[in-house]
Amino acid sequence: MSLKLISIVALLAACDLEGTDTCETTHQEGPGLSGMATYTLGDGSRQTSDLGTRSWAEVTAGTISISSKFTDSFGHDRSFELRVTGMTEGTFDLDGRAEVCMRRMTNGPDVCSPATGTIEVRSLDEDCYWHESGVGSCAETMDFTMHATSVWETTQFVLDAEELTVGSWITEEC
Amino acid sequence: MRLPLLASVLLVTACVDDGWHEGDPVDRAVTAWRMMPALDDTRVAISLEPRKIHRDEHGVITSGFATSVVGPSIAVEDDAAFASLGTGAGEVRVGATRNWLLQTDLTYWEHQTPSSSPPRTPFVLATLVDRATLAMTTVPLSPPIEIPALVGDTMFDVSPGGFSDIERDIVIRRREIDGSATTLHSGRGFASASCTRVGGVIVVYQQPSGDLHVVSVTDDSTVTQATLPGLHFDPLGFACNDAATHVAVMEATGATLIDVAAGMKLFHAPDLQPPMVISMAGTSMVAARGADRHLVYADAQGTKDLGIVSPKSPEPAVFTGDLAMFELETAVAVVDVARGVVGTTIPAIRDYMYPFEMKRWRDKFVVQLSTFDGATYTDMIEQMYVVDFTAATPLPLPESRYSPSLQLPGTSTLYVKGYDGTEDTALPHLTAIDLASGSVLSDELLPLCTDEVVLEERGCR
Repeated sequence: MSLKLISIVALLAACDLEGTDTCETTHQEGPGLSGMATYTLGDGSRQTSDLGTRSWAEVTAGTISISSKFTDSFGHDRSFELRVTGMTEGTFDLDGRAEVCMRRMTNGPDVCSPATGTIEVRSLDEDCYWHESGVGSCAETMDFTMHATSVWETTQFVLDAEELTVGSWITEEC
Repeated sequence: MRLPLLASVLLVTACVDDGWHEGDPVDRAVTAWRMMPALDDTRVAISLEPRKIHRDEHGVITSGFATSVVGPSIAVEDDAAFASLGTGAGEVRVGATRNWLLQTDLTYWEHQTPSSSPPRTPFVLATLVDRATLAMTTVPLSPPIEIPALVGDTMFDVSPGGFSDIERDIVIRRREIDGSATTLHSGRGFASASCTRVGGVIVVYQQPSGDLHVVSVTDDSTVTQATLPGLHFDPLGFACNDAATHVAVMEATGATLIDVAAGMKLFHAPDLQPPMVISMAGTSMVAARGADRHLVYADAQGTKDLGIVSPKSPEPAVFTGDLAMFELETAVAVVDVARGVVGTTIPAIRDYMYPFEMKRWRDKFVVQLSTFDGATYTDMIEQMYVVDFTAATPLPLPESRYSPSLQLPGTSTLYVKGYDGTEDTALPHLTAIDLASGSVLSDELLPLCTDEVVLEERGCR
């Protein structure tokens, strides 16, 4: 598990040394992620994922990641992650900077495949605090639209996503 | 729910350093051990594989673990080393006259839990252990064995089971004792599943046409196969009978029983799901009903509720011939799968079964029930039985009762591995019990690699 993921679950509360018992914590606002991902398998069957549920986007050092799950006809879940590197504000061709990773076989390793398409990033920011202990947290701001396609062997992955989240640090009682 | 929102659930005060990680070694020495019994069960060799587990730390955060195999495995008898083996994670299959110690060339893997089995990797090396003499012969495997399936003394090699997003090769090979292979079946498909039984090996797979293909191979390499049109199956819900003549596959609507030789469906039982067990004759099965998890007997005439309830995530049933042992919500029960009758039932110590173990032994079962101490996170064995359809006969409990596990490598001796305490300094023992007489034969320390040698990455001892 990446440090980033651990840090998100463990929210940092920075204690006031003068004893006023206030803490800085992150606050996220916005509709978040929405859209649809579709995965067509080699046998022609299709799995879909509503990105508005059980999905999330995050940004780490200019890399945007979207994580979600497909569910097959027998009810088995399968996670996937789409990563786009080198992101700043602007419109970009995904070619050469995006990949989709997921297990393509039960108990197999993750297999990544390059993605093509476009991403329009209207806003992107991460305001992080890291304690020397390794614990930290980030207020993430993301506003983007992405259309991605990834072909691996005889499979095809298609994702159309909108993301709007505004993150900030707020002060509250510990 | 978005992960950032989850963050509000847990608040960590960074100004407190509780030092929880201090004093806990970053590197641990672990021995993976496997038993290789002689024919008469009076001797048993044990392979010891030296593993070093490293914990990755970033401040107070543990970000993961990594296991390294730090040298060749060795074989010991009575704690005395008598053979050096290959380097790589291994498994043992016990055959009629020889054991197969199979090793991969995998020597490093990462994981999130403190210890982890190696990821599935093909086996590249086999050490054949003569069960009469414990003499060993090592041969390279070409091609490597994907999934070993030992029937009697014949080793087969089948393709990995499970879902596949792309069309792939599905093969069944007979493995020769010189490490070579003879292909008995070759096809193309997507999802597949296999089982190894007393009567042979069965492989089921979804063909590109959408049909289901079933192949059975007996130990004399006789191949029987059939194609069932339009049957879409879940490879994670699959069962074979002990004779390896019939399979039950799970479809979206329930379970279907298939006669492989006849190449036909015998019946479809709506809403049935694993755990599933098929009778020896292949005419009936017992499985859980999806709606209420009741165990149900099914045959071509219909279904019958057995009046016992499977838990939400049961252990796989174990079976021998027509008898199966199922985990229930608050008991384990023997069921005659041919007649649909419930026999011996052993109640749970508490209001749920965990932790417990059930093993097949000849035409009976061995069961141990343990308590769990939440303070020390330790299991302690409390009850142990030999069980058949009509009775549960208590077995003596080992003196080393903590974190127990049962091993039945041969035909007559049960080995119970257990620690002699809950402290860090506790040692694992192997207690041997003769199952026929119910008497303790021996209580020895489990042979292990030497911690210092493993931590210095110098091998096992």
